[in-house]
Amino acid sequence: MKEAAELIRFENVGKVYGTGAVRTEAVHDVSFSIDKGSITIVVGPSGAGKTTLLNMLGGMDTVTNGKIWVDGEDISHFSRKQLTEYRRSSVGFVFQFYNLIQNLTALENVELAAQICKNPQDAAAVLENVGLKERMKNFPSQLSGGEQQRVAIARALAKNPKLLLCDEPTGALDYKTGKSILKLLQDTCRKDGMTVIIITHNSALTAMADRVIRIQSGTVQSVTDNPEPTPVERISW
Amino acid sequence: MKSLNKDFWRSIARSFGRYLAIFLISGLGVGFLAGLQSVSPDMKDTADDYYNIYRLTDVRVQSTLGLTDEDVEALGALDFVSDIQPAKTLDVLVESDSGESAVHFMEIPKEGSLNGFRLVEGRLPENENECLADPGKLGSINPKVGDVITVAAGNDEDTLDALTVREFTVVGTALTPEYVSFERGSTTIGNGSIAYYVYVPEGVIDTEYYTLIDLTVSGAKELSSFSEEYESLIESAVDEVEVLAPVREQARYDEIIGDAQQELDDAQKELDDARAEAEAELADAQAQIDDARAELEDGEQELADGERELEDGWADYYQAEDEFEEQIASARQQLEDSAAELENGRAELTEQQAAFDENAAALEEQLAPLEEAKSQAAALAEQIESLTAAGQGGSAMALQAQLSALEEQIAAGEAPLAPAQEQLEAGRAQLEAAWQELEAGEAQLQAGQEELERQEREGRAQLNDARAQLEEAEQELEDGRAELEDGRKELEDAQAEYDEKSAEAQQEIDDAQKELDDAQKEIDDIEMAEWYVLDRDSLAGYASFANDTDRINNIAKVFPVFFFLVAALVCLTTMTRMVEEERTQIGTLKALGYSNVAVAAKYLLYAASATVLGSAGGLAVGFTVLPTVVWAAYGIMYNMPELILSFRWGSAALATAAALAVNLAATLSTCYREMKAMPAELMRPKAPKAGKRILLERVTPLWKRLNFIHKVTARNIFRYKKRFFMTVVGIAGCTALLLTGFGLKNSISGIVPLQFEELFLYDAMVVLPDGASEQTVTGVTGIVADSATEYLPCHYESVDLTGPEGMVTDATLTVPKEAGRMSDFVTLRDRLSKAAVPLTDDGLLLSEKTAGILGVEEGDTLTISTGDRRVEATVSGVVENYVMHYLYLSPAVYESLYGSAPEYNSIYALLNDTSDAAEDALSERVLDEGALAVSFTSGIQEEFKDTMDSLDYVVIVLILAASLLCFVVLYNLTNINITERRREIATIKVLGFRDMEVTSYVYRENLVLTLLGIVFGLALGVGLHAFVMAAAEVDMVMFPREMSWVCYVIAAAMTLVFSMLVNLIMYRRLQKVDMVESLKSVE
Repeated sequence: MKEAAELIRFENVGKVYGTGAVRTEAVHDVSFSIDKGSITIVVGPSGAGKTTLLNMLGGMDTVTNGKIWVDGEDISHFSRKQLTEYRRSSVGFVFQFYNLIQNLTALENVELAAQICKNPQDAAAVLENVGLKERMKNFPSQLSGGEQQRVAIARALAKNPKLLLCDEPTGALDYKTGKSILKLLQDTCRKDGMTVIIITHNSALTAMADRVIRIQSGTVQSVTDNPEPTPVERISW
Repeated sequence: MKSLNKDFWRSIARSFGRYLAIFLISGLGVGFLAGLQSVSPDMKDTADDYYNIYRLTDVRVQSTLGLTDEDVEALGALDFVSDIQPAKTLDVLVESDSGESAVHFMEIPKEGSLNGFRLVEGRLPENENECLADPGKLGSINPKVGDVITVAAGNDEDTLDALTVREFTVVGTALTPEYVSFERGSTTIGNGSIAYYVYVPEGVIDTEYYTLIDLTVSGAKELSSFSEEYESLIESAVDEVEVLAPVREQARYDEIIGDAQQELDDAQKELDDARAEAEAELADAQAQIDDARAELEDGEQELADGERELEDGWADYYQAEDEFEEQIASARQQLEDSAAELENGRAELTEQQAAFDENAAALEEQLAPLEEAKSQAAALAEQIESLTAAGQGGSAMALQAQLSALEEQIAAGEAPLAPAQEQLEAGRAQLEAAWQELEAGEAQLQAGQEELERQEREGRAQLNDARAQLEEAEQELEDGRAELEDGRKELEDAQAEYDEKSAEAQQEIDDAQKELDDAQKEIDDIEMAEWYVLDRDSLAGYASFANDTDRINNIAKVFPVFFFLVAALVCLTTMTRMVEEERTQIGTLKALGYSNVAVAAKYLLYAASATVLGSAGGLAVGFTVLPTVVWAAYGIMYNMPELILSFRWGSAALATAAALAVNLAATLSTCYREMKAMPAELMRPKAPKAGKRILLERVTPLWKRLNFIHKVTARNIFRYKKRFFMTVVGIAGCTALLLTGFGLKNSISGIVPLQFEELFLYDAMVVLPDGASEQTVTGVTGIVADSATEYLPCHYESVDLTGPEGMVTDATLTVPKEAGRMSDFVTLRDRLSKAAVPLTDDGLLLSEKTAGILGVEEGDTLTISTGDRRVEATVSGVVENYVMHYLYLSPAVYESLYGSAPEYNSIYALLNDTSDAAEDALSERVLDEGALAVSFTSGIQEEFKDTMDSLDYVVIVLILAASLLCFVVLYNLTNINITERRREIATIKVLGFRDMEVTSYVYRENLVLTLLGIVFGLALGVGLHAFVMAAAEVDMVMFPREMSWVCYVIAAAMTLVFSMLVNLIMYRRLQKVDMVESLKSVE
């Protein structure tokens, strides 16, 4: 375990959907913290409140109560506009279904993100880093799933975000490709010191994380630190 | 199938935007098609209904010499006449608060008779001093209810005579189908145009003849006034009436001439009688005067005679007087002589006397005692006597003795004395004799003297008498002279009076004769009666109404095409997207064993229901709104009752069927591919449509400069071709519609300045009546010359032109007196090159549209017909012209064609002052002088402008349609784009794109397509505009094809604004796209 500064802190965060009679408490009293440059895996079954956490952390949704600190700022009281700026500069998203713009090439998809932030990385370089130097000019439809997800990761990284938020990054991929993607994420964290948060239902992946946050029925069941995270190559599921 | 039904309803609910798009575009297309098609029939139905209700005449007969009951009878006998009604009308100058204007007087028709009217306001007149007025239109100067109108004193005598009432109170206003537009027709009085009409009670117009006879044709009422059947029915009726016309014309002419001649002859006879009588009277008077003169002369003669006599009298008198004086003098002398002699004699005698007396005295003394004795004796005698008498004779005796004694003594004493005594006595006797003699002499003298005196007195008296007589005579003469003088004076007066009277009488007679001669001339001048057999086209506004509705019909054929094309494209894109979205479901259903038909039925039903519902809505709106709006536009020009709207099943079915066919074809084509596919294939998610490099990317320098949004936009635009076409066509249609609308307005209102400012340079045209007298021509020309900087007499005539292929049109033939100066009054030029086309001495210029209709060009021959005269002429040039048809001939050409010099019956003028006041004044002056009509370019221009303004409504309809079109396509495009790219949008939102960036990511495509659509639309609009212009163009007018750049700018700008509006509306949809969508799996 290395000495690391805390990047994210959830303080008694709760989220209630709906109003009046039909109120659903998606999560409640969630508290945890994530260190800078670590890999955190949020794991739980479907409907446990993972996506709600992701939405709130990703600045896609507001918080009903509690506080979320990101790099010393409380984003739980951000306005819509502030949230947009937060997403724009601080968060890199990796979606389960890649969510690439079909009409843009791999490079253009990366540039799409790079163009909107203040301090972007070179799109081509990022793509090269994720191993897609040769496929830069291809359209998403011409790429395999893994390649598409790499493009998606490159797109997220190009923004130079404070954290990389990955929603079931391997969910749509085959085992092998999924593994390579996880490897890429782990490498990114280890090499570049990127804070990576992976949200998944697959508890097999927890081995690769520095910290594992288990969610069950809208609450944090446990927060476990993994003093020796297993390299992805050695994990199997 | 229940679940399929449920699915159907849910599909609609879920994709309501799409459903709405099909609904709207179908409604737009169908509504426009059916609505526009119903405009003309609705308007015609309304007009026809109006005509039927108020029993508008079918045929109207008018005559130059008025019509009579015999005419009515003759016309009534025609078998096709179902109703006949003569009427009296009169054009009268009327004074009201708004000044003097020419007003058309009509009699109030009896209830249920032809040409009824619609009381708009107030009540019917109750007495002859009340009238109904023309309600006019907003802003007109017509009298209002309660106003009093007065027949102006300036009317001609016949008009004044024909009116029994001079002042009317307006008690109501009434509309009549005789005047459906605001044209009120022309007249020969006032400024030449009728300001308004009034209805006066029967009997107010007191003429012996009718001004018109109206008749309806049996079977015509059942036909629409605007149908060909009606036209041909009326045409044949008119023809039949025209057959009757010559007979009636002759009869009327004979009657008028006969009556007038009879009247004139009577008058002549009367005049002759009067003349004879006057002459006789005059002759009498003259005779009297002559008698008096003779008498006077006699008197004068007499007077002269009298004078002469008087003079003689005087002469006699003086002579007599002289003689008398002389005589008297001599007599007096004699007498004086005698007197002197007598004096002497007296003196002698006196001496003798004295001597005698001495002797006598001596004797006396001797005798004295004797005497005493004698006395004693006498006393004794007396005593004796007395004694005797007393009987005392005795004493008496005694005494007697004494007496005797005494007597003796006496005798004794005497005896001695006796001789002396005797002597004495003798002497005494002698002396006495001498005295006697003397006294006798003296007495004689005395007598003589007396005699003389008497004579003198007498003579003098006589003389005096004579003088008096003479003087009297003189006085008499004097009086006679004075009298004569008076008589003469009187006579002279009488003569003067006579002369005067005679001259007067002569003058009167001459005047009367002249009047009669004039009347005779007038009678001789009366032209043969001419009947005008008119159909409804002659009614002001009737023909233009029909034309206007037809014009709408032309346009109705063009516009809907767009909407249908766009509807097809909208349906195609929408259904394509829907089928794509539901491909998994389609696959599942097919896998479950549903037939292709059952599956496809959903989509067909979806499209069909949207189409049918849209059509229904479109029909509901189209059948009401379009006719109403167009009606409102025309309402400015026409006075008609409420529009009768009809649901036209034919049009409705046709339009709906067309929309269904188009939309179902589009839907089927999208379903077809999916139906063919295997269920398994369908159940797999369809690979997203591959990104593709586009041509633009080859231009690397440019491509590199584009940011990703531009790139995405560029690729998207070319990826979805259906959407591309739908949007571009839709937007192009929108722009084209706008351009057409504004272009129409621009081009048509462009006619006004072009025709009336650039081409018609003249300000006024004065028309003289046919065969105007030299005096009228000179008079009118003088007035025109006074107020014009330049003027040009012209021959002006309506002719029919026939082209080589038999095309016929009417035209105005103008022959300027000086061919070279025509271009000072009318710009004669080629439209395109603007090069002048001068009217040369051998020239014949034809207006452009006319040439087009006739199919002639420079050098071609056309036929000019006037009445039954036909001449052939060669066109020497074609000139720019927009309104009506004109033919310009040089006098030389006219003469060579017609064999006679043209009669210059009109004057073109450039005025000094074109203000309304100056024009009114000029108009009044020339009409007073005998001009037939005056038209001012400014006035025509005004009228035209008003007409053009009603086009605004058409433009509004086009703008509405265009905006709807724009809305539907952009809404549909954006709707599809947003639903399809929900994921992309959510993703870029998650990536931290700001609202504006997200918006432009979607809208840039809209913008580019809109711009592209605008470009195509402008091009398309030019064509559509030209087409509509050609379709809407009536024969009489050539619309300028040019459009101002402003129209392009406005059309483009409005399209942009519309698209912005749609984008604004869709912005909320975009905002609502949830970022959570990005986390969902691909369907």
